[in-house]
Amino acid sequence: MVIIGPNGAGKTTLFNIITGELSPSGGKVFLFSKDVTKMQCYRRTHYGLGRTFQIVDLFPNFTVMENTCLAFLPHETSCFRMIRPFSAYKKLHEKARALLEGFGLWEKREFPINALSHGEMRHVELILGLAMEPKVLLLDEPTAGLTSSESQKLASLIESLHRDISLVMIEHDMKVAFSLAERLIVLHQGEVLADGEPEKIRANSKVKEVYLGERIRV
Amino acid sequence: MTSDKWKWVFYAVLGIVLVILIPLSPRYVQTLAISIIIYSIYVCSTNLLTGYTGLVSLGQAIFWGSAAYLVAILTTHGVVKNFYLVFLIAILSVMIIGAAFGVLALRAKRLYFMILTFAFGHVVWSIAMYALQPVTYGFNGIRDILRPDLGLSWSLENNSNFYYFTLAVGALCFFIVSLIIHSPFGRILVGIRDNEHRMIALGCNTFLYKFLSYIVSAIIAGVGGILFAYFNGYVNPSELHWVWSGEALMMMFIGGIGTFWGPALGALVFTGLRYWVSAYTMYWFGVEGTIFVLVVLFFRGGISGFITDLPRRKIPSKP
Repeated sequence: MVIIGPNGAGKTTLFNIITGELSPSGGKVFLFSKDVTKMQCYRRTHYGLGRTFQIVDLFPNFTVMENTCLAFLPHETSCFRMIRPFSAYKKLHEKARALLEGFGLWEKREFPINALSHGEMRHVELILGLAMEPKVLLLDEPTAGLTSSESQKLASLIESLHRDISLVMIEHDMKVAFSLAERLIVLHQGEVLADGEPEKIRANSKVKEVYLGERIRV
Repeated sequence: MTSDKWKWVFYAVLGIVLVILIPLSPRYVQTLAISIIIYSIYVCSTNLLTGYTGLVSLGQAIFWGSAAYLVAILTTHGVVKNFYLVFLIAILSVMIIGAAFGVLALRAKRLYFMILTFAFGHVVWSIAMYALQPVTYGFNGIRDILRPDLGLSWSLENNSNFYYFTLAVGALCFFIVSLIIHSPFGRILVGIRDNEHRMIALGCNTFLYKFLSYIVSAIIAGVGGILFAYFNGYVNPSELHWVWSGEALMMMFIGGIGTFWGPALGALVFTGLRYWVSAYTMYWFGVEGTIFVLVVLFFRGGISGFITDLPRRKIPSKP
């Protein structure tokens, strides 16, 4: 599912309400038919809700490997252990390796985040989201700030992800949005303007008026 | 030589100095060394909380002072004589105080957290100063705390024995902190320090981690306070005063924030300089402040950061 909409439509706010960073002034949030409106942010992730951020939001002093392992940790039983060194948890490192190899970042595992290019940081951002093994993954503009060829690469990576994960994605790149979407929601000034298959949205005149027409030809 | 070899040279020299040279030195060197180790423990606790978890607290003296006062009260009033029991009671009390203040203070973030810990410090200080005056003797403090009896034939009245005792406890504290910072738990603490927002999004109950870090740091500060009370033989309200909390932060900055040896280096320089400067002038606080300003302006990483940067500075820049 892809959410699009002009600036200020409330896309990220919607994500923040779903993840619990903001609490809604009305209405309820359901996760797998469980009411999570009052549930704290971190708890929701344990029910399978993951997210990534629009602005790269990583651990800059840690290496790529450490970033990935850190994303596993809150979901492991070892997270409160204070004795054994972190590096001795082989299973975590194996899991991280599998993920990093999938993204072609295994060679750069010892690089601190600061030393990566913006495109690679966006990949790590996605890796961190996936590392939590979510059932629903909210991607907040995964291609923000990427060149169009980098966007295409990331889009094909996203497309190749496991079908077990439901992806909800905010996207500004229309090419990416329309190529990935199975269902498309258009938000405008905090309201749902249109909801449906990409083809229908493309044909919707209201959508064209407020959004597509003035910005991008599809 | 590679940095790994330097590391072993450093450990070897440190070991020889600490275990062999200092006990052979004159009494005043031993005394100075004991206070440096005790202060290191205290700064180490602050470093765990501030350097690794990113919580700036102005209430660390609460735990140091409370533990010291408990030792003083229990032993001088003859309530409990057994060292191990006193130790246990003091540590448990510090844990409880830490848990109570932690739950309240950690509800706030950053500056507000700091102000809350500062306020708690004031409350505890005034309790020791006025409310409990019959037991604490207020401003005069408690005198004549005897050195502990470990129940061994090995007497701690002897200065070099007390030095070894302090060294062992200090090494244990540093060892525990080293385990913690390298463990999964410790990694998460550093993660919270660097990016708490993301840690929450990854599913981490950051409050619980910060709370545990606060308690562990309270316990370690308490261990320092216990040793101090026995060593100094005298406890007064300045041990609970927020100035002493601030000095922990200063020592940490001078030594190197968020580095393993930073607390020890900070305590060494701080205590050593105070000893040396006080012989010439009364204005120790002025000197202390000046050093602090210089370190913050020119050596952000403190002494520890400066030393680890040395090899990099020697490498000529590539054309």
